[in-house]
Amino acid sequence: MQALPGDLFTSKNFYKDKALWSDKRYFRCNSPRQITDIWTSGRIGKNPPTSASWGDCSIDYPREKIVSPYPYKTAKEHYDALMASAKAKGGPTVYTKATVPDWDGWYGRDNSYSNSQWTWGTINQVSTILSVLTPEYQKRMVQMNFHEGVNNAPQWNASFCYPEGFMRWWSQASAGGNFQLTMNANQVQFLSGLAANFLRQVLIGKEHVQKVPQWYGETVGFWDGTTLITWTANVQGWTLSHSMFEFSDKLQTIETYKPVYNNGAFVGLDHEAIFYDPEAFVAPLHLTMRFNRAAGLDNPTRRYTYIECLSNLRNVDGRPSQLTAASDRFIDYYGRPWAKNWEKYFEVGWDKPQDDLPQEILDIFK
Amino acid sequence: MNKKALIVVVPVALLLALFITPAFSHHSFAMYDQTKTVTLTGAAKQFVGQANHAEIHFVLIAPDRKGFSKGPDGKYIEWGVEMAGAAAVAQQGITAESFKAGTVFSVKLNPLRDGSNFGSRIGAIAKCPVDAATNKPKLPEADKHCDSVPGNTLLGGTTF
Repeated sequence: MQALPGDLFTSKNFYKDKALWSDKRYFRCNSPRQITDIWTSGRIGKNPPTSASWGDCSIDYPREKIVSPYPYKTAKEHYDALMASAKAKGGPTVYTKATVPDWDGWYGRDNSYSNSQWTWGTINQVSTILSVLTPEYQKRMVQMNFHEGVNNAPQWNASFCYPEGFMRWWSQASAGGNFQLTMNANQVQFLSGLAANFLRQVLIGKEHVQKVPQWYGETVGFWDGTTLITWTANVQGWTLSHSMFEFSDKLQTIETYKPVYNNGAFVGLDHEAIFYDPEAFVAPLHLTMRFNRAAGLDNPTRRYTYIECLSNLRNVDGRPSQLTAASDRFIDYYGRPWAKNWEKYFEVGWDKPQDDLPQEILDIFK
Repeated sequence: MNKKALIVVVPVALLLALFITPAFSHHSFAMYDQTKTVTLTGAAKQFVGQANHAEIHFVLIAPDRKGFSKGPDGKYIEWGVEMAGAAAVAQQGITAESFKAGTVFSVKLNPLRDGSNFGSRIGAIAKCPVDAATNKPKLPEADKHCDSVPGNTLLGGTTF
């Protein structure tokens, strides 16, 4: 593969290279994830950034598999069509608490689907992902590629305890797809997360009423037999981060969940998501995954650990850095930070008991 | 950074130039100098059981192992080490219970690039054993670490 005369890693101003963004060589055939990790993996080389390594130019996931196979232009059009289909069969199906499908349990992603998860940023050339974005969102993605890959200035959501954002449910590291599922006739709830909590609730038979965008959107749905169909709208625009792309608050999804059986026993769910975002995407996008039920809610040891994201990472000269207790900006979350504030601003010069090391430590050398 | 810390420069492990999915974390570790490995021995002051990345804050023990290290200002020198999430390190036996204040241990870490006393853990943590008679930790000899003390415990790995 012949290198371009100039690329991301030699550029002084990536905005001026727009004509090259569609060429995978501009990114040296690195996937988005490889760009995110290019400094920490050592692949940036000995003379950064120009010594950045090349990825494998032969690897990609086809654009035609990323773009939605359906004819619908909007989520509403899609949802209405699915509703019409259900009505034609006498639906939508209405369940009671006693008859609602028993999908309760703990689920995990089926690893055999990993080679199609383009939202993970691991299986595509950057240029292929860019090809499904509008010009403004192409620009934003290349901006992220540049500042992560060239300037080593990553701005991951969890670093600063920013919200994960809706589409991060489909990222690999968020663990959004490894969820606890509970359901009744009115509501189906997905709870998951690793750096922050994802709480997704499908409100059965309801309509969208939120007037402002929500971090994880507002999801309504209905049943067509044993298939759950959902429509998420009112999403807060945000970013997939990790050298991937941003999405707008126009994003809406249509998702379906279909039961999977093995020898007649329920074992999991086949999930399909169609992403409609006319501001960020040039066409609706498409992704499928299987979620395997690993355990029922009666499992005696599984717990959902609610996540309070606590961080002392702050940008210092444009890059995230871990603050230590020596910094004025450090927050000792487990050390009564509220008291530290009072002591710093309102108890200066007071005669009061002095803190020393804990006695257990001082005793070591007694 | 404490100049008495034992610093070993190790070559950066180059990953294959393929589409590799690395171990995931909640933030980039670019802030840590992965070309440097610092080996430290200290006494745990606080276990910070954060869900995203647990930390142990500790007081550095002097290289002669006869007291705590102090800075030019006379204050104890404190360090922190960042690890995986609290649930993950609990699986390795690293918890608030096993790292109570006063627990003496050794750890290798990649230090922050800015020279602050904080780093990212590498490999196992070696806990110094406790003398059953005195209920005090058995300390390593000068310039050595807990892995050299008979009866030590390795947590989160098989080699130190």
